Amino acid sequence: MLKKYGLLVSLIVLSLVLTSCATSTEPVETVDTPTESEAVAEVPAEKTTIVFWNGVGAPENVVLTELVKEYNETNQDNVYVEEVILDWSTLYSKILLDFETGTPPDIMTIQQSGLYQNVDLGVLADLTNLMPEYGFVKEDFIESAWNGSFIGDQQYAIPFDLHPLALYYNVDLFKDAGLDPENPPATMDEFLEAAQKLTVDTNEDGNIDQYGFGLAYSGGIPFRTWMSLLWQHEGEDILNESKTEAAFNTEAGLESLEFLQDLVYEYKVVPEQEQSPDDDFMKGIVAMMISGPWSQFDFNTVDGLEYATAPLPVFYDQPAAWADSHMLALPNTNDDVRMAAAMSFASFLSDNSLTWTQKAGHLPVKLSVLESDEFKALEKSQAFAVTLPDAHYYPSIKNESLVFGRDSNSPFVVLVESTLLNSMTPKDALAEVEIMVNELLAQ
Amino acid sequence: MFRKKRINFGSAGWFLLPYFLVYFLFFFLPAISILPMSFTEWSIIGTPKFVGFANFKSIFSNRFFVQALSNTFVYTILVTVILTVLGLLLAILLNQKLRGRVIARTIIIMPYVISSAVAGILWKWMFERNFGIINTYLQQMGLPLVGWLSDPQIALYSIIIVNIWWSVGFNTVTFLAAIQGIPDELYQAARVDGASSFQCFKYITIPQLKPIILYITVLCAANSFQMFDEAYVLTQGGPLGSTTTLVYQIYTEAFKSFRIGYSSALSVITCAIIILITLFQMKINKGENA
Amino acid sequence: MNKKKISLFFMYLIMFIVTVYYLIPILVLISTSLKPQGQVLSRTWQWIPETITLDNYKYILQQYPYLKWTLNSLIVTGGTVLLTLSISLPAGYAFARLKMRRKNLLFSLVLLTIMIPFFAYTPQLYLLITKLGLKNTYLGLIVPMSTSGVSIFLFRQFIEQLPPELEEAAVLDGCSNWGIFSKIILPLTKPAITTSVIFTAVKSWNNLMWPLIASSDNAVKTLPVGLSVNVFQVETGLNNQPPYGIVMAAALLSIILPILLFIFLQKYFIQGIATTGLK
Repeated sequence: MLKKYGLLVSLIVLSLVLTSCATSTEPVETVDTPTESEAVAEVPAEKTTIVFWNGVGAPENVVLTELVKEYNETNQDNVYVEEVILDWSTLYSKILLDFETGTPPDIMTIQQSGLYQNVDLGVLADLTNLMPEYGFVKEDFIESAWNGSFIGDQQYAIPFDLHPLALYYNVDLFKDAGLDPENPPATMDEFLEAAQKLTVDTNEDGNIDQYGFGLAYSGGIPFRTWMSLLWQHEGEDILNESKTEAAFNTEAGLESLEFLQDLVYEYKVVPEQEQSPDDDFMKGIVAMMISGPWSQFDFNTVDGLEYATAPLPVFYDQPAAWADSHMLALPNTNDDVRMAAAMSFASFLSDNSLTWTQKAGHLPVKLSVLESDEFKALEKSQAFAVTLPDAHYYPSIKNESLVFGRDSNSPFVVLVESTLLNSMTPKDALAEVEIMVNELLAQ
Repeated sequence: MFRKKRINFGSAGWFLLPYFLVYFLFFFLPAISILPMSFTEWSIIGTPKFVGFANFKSIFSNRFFVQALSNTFVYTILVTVILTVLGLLLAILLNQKLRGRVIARTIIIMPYVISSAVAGILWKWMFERNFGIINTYLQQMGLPLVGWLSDPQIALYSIIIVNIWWSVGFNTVTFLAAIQGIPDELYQAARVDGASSFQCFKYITIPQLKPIILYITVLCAANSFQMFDEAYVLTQGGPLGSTTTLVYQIYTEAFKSFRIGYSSALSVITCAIIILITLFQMKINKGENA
Repeated sequence: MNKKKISLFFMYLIMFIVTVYYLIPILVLISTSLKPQGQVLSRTWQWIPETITLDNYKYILQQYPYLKWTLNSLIVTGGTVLLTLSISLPAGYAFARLKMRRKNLLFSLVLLTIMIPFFAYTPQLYLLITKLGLKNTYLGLIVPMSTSGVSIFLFRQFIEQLPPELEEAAVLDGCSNWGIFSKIILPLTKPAITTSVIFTAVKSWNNLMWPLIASSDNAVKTLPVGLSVNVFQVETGLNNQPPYGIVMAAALLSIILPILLFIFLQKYFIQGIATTGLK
């Protein structure tokens, strides 16, 4: 008979465990709620604990972690920062979920391209009035980065860095090919000439084993390169002025796309179906590639890889390069004490953005840092600095994650995949993607 | 009469209660909400907006839906068949008194415990079209380079190769345990009657293993129908959508585009398909049992 | 005799081929984890590293709270296995042997857990977990992962094929259902329990997507989440390439425990079958 009750007992134990855990976690949870922290703030000796979401991704997130640690050890603001490390895609979905349940972080990293969507959903706090209080003024920042933190007339984020595209090249391979590493290609002709000279069969087995240029068949960089080429045409843009319709299906758009396709199939200076130009560049398989300043982090880990950077060559009428920007944003918590703490932390990060540049490569957006000798000493960053006035963000739209997404059915991924894998003519691909983009914009 | 009215802790209900408590709260409640959700537009924040059948209409007119559907079916059928058959054959092989079978068993199960993220990175690296490990050897043998992950005609099959490498070990071990549970007397009796090895296999092993074969088939079908991690790490659903499955679409709609209504509608369609197939399968099984 | 030799030869041949297919990627993994970054990116593949280094392992153990992640994973995996077994075994038995109304309907409900894609209801589940105060707790990771009907299905299939004679004798002796379950069925079900433990444990050990969303806090961060968020990025098309040597070293460190578990269990269940007399 006793055994009959065994199940009942185990059930009771189970339900007890369930309920007790549910209740026992509650006090822990309330630490995060505003009421508790206000109580904390009334006691000056206690520190205000704020939660910071670090979403910049491995391996550069380590650098931010170090800065957080430094802030916690040195700050005079009575603030303790609790860091949560995430990746971008988790951060973007989690912020919506946690905002909905009333438990958002106090401050988080965000990309300029993700700003509009989150503002549109009401997640982010309007910082327009707070900015000057903490010493963030327009005059201290690069104009493009500063302007990028506005949606309409309101400012929603603190610009932290900027990362435009530029050209990376392998110095040793340049020398081997008889090219001058001091004079990287700056025009279409120079680029093609260099790329062709750098494409060689080094061991003479009949197979090309070194290519002039690296261009992946998929992912973000190829379509951002294409956009940069489009912007290099005067008066061209991705969307029309009111951002309601696609504007890229033009002669310029076609010419740019055909050029990328020709690099693979006509000039044959790019390995077909290339998966990872970064890897190939580190292995010395490709001699040039286009990427943002972040690639330095990986490249610097390879012993014996001597490389340099240059601004994107001017293929058409004018210099232009795609860029995005890391920013710091505060979710809408309406908690003045914690927002104040978050702003203090943000201004520490902003003041120390040189460390971020030195270790992770991203470009500072503060003029004082850009003009400092320490920054000027970073040789490889200068090419990116030159690009800053010509940097273009994605057009700011509500459906950013749909239109400029990097999933296999995102329009611009379809565009580059179908042309770089040669499954569609550039003309047809542009026409098809134009329809896709217009459909998404109409939603 | 009195005794019957007492709570009978031996009755089926009490054996099911613990499971269904957890089930109801942590599965049924959240899962059932996809049905009403599929008729709404909701981006996690705020209240869902009712939109009628708009999501379903939009799915059926989406150019990627049919492709995802066919990818899912090709993948599910191939993986289920290969994994079940190969798992059974390997189990029979490793049940023989061969030298080194314990080591072989361990090696076969090893990939199964590697996380999908690492398995993906490992294979992606080996699969690289230019100068990847596999293609380097192919090139040395004078064979053409294969775009394992970059050729839309091939990418799905490459994922199948990875999946078989990754998960056949579990099937093998399960079958192995089941085979060892088959009474030896059956085989001995058969051999006395002069049955060949193949006859033993056909008339003893297979019928004895039937429940486990059904279990493995259903499990493989369900798992491969929901394949996600491999595509997520290896191809991100590309190239040209050739490895995008229904579940992958559900993920991107929910977690990249934040269109919960749309992804719920996709889930409803997916479930409807699975339920139809299961009913069909059950009918076949019943027919066979009769 | 000759025929037997030939078939034996083929069996060894197949075993060899299969082992190679399964072993080569593992060798790549081991070899890469012992190489310094410069050699990992060498143009030609070398099976045996020119210089063998343990730096990748050291880096992981020093740079990251690796032991803490492992411990968290152990707790979550152990909890999931225990909870899954303790609720699935009785249910599987009931479905296999006991009389009840609407059995098929109830079992279909169980099968729903296998059919409905997890991502379909993840957002709702997350909101629920948050409301219950289970976010960033072990329980929040364990309980929702224990609802899968896979184990119930396995137990039902397994118990159904057990010979009913033993139970019939017990019923005549006046044994209750609970007694039959705990005394007769449970010991016989060991092979299925082993299978279920392996399946549930591995699934939980490697589970990425749910812990990624539900537990980003350092306190409960599991191994796969730590690896794919702190150490490298799993997604392709992103900016940075994974540091292959470190990734592979991390992978090897993370499979040691499960492999040991398997070797232990393999021995256990073969013995188990022999001693329980399931013949």
